[in-house]
Amino acid sequence: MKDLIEALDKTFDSRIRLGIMSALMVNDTIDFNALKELLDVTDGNLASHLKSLETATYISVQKSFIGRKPLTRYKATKQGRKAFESHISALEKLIRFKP
Amino acid sequence: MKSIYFAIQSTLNMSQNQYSDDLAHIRSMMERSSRFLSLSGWAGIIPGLLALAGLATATWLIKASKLTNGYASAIDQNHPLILQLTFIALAVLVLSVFSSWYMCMRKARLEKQSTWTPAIRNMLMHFAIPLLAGAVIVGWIYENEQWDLLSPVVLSFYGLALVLVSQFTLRSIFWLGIFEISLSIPAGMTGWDLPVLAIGFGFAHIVYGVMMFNKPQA
Repeated sequence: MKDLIEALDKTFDSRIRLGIMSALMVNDTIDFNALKELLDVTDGNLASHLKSLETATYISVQKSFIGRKPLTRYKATKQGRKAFESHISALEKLIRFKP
Repeated sequence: MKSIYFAIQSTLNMSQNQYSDDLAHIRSMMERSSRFLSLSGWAGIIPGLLALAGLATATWLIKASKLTNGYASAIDQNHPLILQLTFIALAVLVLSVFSSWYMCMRKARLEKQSTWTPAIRNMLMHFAIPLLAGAVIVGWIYENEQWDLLSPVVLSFYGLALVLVSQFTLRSIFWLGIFEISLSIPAGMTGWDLPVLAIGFGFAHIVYGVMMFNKPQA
């Protein structure tokens, strides 16, 4: 049981980070505003969670402009995908665990 | 001793609940970010009724034109009947597209879902590509005046569009698409084109729309 809990990734403790990563697993890129509407969070809150995923190198950031409007897109990195997949399989094992 | 065991047991159960909540959250986020699920039942019913009205008018016009075999088999593309039928078809198409788009966007707003997401963009693109391909074939059918090919081509390309778009919206759309494609078989038989179009574009849409009201997460 203890090993299983340790296999969980601390980065995904937060529901918001879990949500960001889930959405990025099934979409190539998602921009900031789409994530904000999807998760129903404030700008600041979302930005800080994105920052910590970026620091963990689980997501990459692409900045561009549409006319004068800045557009920030996020993408899951290879490392991030791997970490998320092993987090999911750890969750599945924990659910099936019977003492 | 027993109580300690129960205490451990219940914390374990509680955290196991939390883990399955996490997994449910992941599943729902993946679903909501990749599929547009706010399809309104009206988006099926209104186009279905418009199609039936259009086809009824078309049948009436064809009968009134007193063509010998009842159907437009070899008439010129500039014949007034063809122009009238084309106008009806385009009017039904435009009204259907606008009404279903409006009903879906209204439902999305009511459900507080975003109305411009990667899922919607994907959905529109994958819907439009087979329809545009079909439009090219329809253009050639007009050019060569092969009117008996019109119904099967329209039904099968529309069915393909539905099959493709089902990846980005309700999965059950897939089966509606398969149904439309299979209707292209009887649609090619002489005299069957208008009744089969009424089934494919009229009744199938209405039935599917009503089903969506009863089973919103189909």
